[in-house]
Amino acid sequence: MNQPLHFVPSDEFRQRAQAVVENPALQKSFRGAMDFLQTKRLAQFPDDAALQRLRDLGESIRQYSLSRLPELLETLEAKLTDNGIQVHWAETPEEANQIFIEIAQAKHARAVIKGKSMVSEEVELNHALQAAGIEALESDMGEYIVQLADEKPSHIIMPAIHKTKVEIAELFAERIPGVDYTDSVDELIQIGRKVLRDKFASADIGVSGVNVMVAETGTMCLVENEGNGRMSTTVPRVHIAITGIEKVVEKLTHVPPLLSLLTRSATGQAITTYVNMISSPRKTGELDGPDEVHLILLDNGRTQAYADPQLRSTLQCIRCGACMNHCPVYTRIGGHAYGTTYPGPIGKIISPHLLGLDSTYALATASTLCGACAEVCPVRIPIPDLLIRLRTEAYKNPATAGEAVRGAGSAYSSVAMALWHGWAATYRYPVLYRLFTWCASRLRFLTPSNQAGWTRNHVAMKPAKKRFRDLIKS
Amino acid sequence: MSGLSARERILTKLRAAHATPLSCPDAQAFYPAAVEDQATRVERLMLNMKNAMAETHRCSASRLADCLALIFNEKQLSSVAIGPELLADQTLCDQLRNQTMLVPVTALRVDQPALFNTVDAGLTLTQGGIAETGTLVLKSGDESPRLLSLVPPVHIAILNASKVVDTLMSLMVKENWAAGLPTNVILVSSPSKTADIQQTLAYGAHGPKQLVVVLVEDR
Repeated sequence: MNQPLHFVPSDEFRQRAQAVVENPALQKSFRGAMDFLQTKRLAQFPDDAALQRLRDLGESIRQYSLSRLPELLETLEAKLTDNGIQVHWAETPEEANQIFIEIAQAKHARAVIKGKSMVSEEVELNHALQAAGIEALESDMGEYIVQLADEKPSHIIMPAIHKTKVEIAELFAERIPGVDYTDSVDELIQIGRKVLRDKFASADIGVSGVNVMVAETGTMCLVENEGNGRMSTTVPRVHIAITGIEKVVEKLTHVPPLLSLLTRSATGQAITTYVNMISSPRKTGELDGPDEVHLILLDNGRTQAYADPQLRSTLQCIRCGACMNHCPVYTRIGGHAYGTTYPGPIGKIISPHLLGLDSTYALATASTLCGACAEVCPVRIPIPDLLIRLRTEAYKNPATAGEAVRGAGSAYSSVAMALWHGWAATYRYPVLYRLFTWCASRLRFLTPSNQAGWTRNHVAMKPAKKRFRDLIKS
Repeated sequence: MSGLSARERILTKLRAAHATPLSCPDAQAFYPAAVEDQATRVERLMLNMKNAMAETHRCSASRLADCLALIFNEKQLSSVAIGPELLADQTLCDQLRNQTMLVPVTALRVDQPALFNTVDAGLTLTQGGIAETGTLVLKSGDESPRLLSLVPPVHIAILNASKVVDTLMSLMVKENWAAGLPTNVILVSSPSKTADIQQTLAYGAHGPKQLVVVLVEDR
């Protein structure tokens, strides 16, 4: 796993998932981590009735914000501009990266220090900056570890959740000059702190994501525990934030319930160590803070989800990661198997809009539809319904699939469709059904022992000697 | 739409969806007015902060310098950075200078290397406290640099008991934050921490390893 993971074709999804399932160490590591996060979340919600009321509120705030999204974005832009923050819009990852590079070149920037941002992972910013000759260093401890190992985050909140402390100890000893092996977590964190301290002071640009944007005040809210987010947005002369267009609310009073749902659902904290609310660059007279603040608003397929009333609910997401923490599939295969920036249930429903259904439809099939994700989602996204919808879109006839989802119909097979039609007809007409079961019971010796996907994990199916109706008659 | 800017293309696509505007949810109604008295509220804040591994102290306004001196002494802080907000209090500064070297942070970015490399602690005022989550409210301004509470390994925050409120919501409403916010508002609820290595909690990730709250009671 030492190669950088790029978006990978979905036909390799099965192999990658299989490899993880057969690795007991990884299984144990994921199971332990998910149990930990589930227990911590539950402890934050002792009163179920209160939780349900808060979820109702969170859902209604997100739905309300989306229902007025275009005008809220315009208000936000006007307010941010008034406050002195420069707003940029990007339709694609390439456009977003180009904006970063242009700002960096205008500032003659050599080094960028990054706070945690999944949207910057989504656009593969580090690659783009490196290609332009600009060093990009991750400063969140988990992200730093993952970057040091040339990997990608396997979880949206805890990027290095797939690694044990021994693996991290070996990684540090091997990759950081002058560091001896230690598997004390405290010492490892202090090593990371020391390496990154100098980088904060010398970086030309700080990059961050945003958790919630407030239209009425032109404010960007960021949550974090380590302080690297504050460092990245305070120490360098230029701060560039990037986030998706959906992350806006109208009023400041909409922020407290969302933050409360976010931190409690994500890591089981009543509040994170720091909540950082940024409303402008350094004003004259102030002694620190960046002279320039930029915000990049990214589309990258979000407008496609927005166009469809059902798929729009995908954009309610506040990226807490509770759905993956409670997903029986994520818990067994981990984040890397998906091959997309966002793994787990949210990844399955957002990635088709980002990357097209043609390369991602297999993800939606990797679900038992057990509904655990929807049960814990703090803003009540109906994830199983969306999974079924995406499966349906993938298997539609491309000629009539429509334009709701890019890549719809890419899993279509005329043979499979003919078989399903035959199956449907058999069940619709009693004569056909009787004929079919009569043939099946007489010709049972012809049943193949290798039944494609089924026999990989099950005993081969074989029709009974006598049909049910014959058993009743006799 | 190729001739349009990314902004126009995105907004055009969003508008084309013709989403039906919903009515605005009243988030304030979710937070009922607290019935407890101020003393109980302050106790709740202090307990929550203690549980989050912050160190808590209490004193009266007249004993503040003594209380801080004890903390400096106990932690052997030989240099403490302060901003204009505290330098204005001549008497306090004079008393503190007997205990430690005060490093004034008064010029733009000039003091940054000292903050990163030599200073033992940052001492700041606090503009508010939130009982529900055990949270300190720090607002940036000409008098209050942002790095003081972040870069040195110890952050000592002075909190006036009268400034403790029930929830973030009540603070926003009471101070009418919707009318405009300072450059930066920071809510601090514990020392800097991380659980990014095998879910093991470690303090002092990038910010202060220790958070010390000095509650000033005006009795």
